[in-house]
Parts: sequence; C-alpha cells; structure tokens
Amino acid sequence: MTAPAFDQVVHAPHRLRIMATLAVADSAEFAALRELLGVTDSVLSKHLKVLQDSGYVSLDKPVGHDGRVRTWIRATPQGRRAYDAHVLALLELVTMPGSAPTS
Amino acid sequence: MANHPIDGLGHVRAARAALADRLATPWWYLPAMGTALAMSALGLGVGLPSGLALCLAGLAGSLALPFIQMRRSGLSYTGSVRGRQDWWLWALFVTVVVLDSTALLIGLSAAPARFAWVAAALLGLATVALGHGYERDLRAAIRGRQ
Repeated sequence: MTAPAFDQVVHAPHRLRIMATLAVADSAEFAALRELLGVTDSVLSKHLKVLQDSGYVSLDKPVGHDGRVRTWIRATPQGRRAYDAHVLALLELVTMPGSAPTS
Repeated sequence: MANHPIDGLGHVRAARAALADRLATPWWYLPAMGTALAMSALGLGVGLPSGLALCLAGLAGSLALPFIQMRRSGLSYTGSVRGRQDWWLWALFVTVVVLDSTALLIGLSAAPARFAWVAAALLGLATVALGHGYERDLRAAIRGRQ
C-alpha cells in the first residue's frame, strides 16, 4: 500500500504529465512524449534530465533499422512509487477542508 | 512552478486523456489482425503441408501488428491498467483457442475444407468485434483512473 507523499520533483506540471503518461504506458518514445505534452525538444529534455537525475525515469537509445537512434523513456519502479504517492497526496489535499484555489 | 493540487490532478487527467487518444489504433489495425488470425486458422484447417505457409504467415502478421502499432504511436503498452477491457481480451483468447482447435480438427479429419473457411471467417469477425470492445474499454479505463 502506497502512503501519500508530496514530491516536489514530480509536482511540476510537465513532469507530472510525463509521469502520468509513463505510469500507464510501459515506455514512450521521445517524439511521442513531446507531442503528448505539446512542448519543444529542449523543454522535454530539461524535464527528463531532472526526472532521470532523481532516478524516476530511465532512457534507452536503441538504433532502429534505419540507423536512427530513437530514445525510449520508461518510469523506474522508484519513479512509479513516487508518482503514486504524489497523486495520493494530491487527492488527500483536495479533500481537505478549505482546499479550493485562491485565484 | 508550484500549482494547486486540483491543477495537479487536472494535469494527470489531461495526460491520461491524451495517452488514451494516442493509443487508439488506426482503422485498418483490427481488420488486419482479424485477417492474420483468420489466415492461421485457415492454415490449420486445410492441413499440412499446404496450410503451413498460410498458418505461419498469419502468425507472423498477428505478431508483427502490435510491433507496428508501437512504432507508429511511439508508445508501448502491455496492460498496466486493469478493468473491464481484460474480459474482452480473455474472450478473444478463448475464441482463438476454440476456433483454431476447431480448424485443426477439420484439417485432421475428412471434413470438407469449407468448414475451415467458416471457422476462419468467424475468427476474423470475432477479432474485429472483440477488439473494438477491448479498445473502447481500455481507453475509458485509462481516462478514468488517477
């Protein structure tokens, strides 16, 4: 049973969306993730670097039949646990009294 | 970068909805899968050796299609979300086993080959129908779960 735990690394909107995607999909190709998030290569790379440095995602770079390197990203078990705990913490926060947005 | 918990849950929902849309297969995917599985059943039904090539071609097609879809969508999904869609998958599995076994028995017996064609056609149609149910419920389950 995962205990709720707010995670600053996961909480950033783009990183939260990356982890939400990778919590369902086993792995996602860099270009697919970029299109799903609607961000540029550099923005996605920056957030992936943060997640990778925290041990939440791993990157695999196999060479395709066409000789091109395609980057596939997957959530690590540690990353999945952190995401699950973070979502539980969010759910806990929104059910607390007085949790409505101020703006 | 701080955001309200409600916004955070909104990001999660948006990501899951976008993922569900992207996992949708193209219109030709299920008919192609149905054709591939029907070919394997027909191959079993017409018996060796002529049916072997047909059976292997169908098998190769049914194995290649998920890989093609993975490359096309840029997503690999092998069933992390539990839900009603699993029942469609089991129904398809049972249908494949029953109709492939039926086709094999037809091939081994002296029954007319047209029965093998019927089993193959049924398998093709069932694959499309059950596959549609699976995809619909899978996308709903992905959208629904936090």
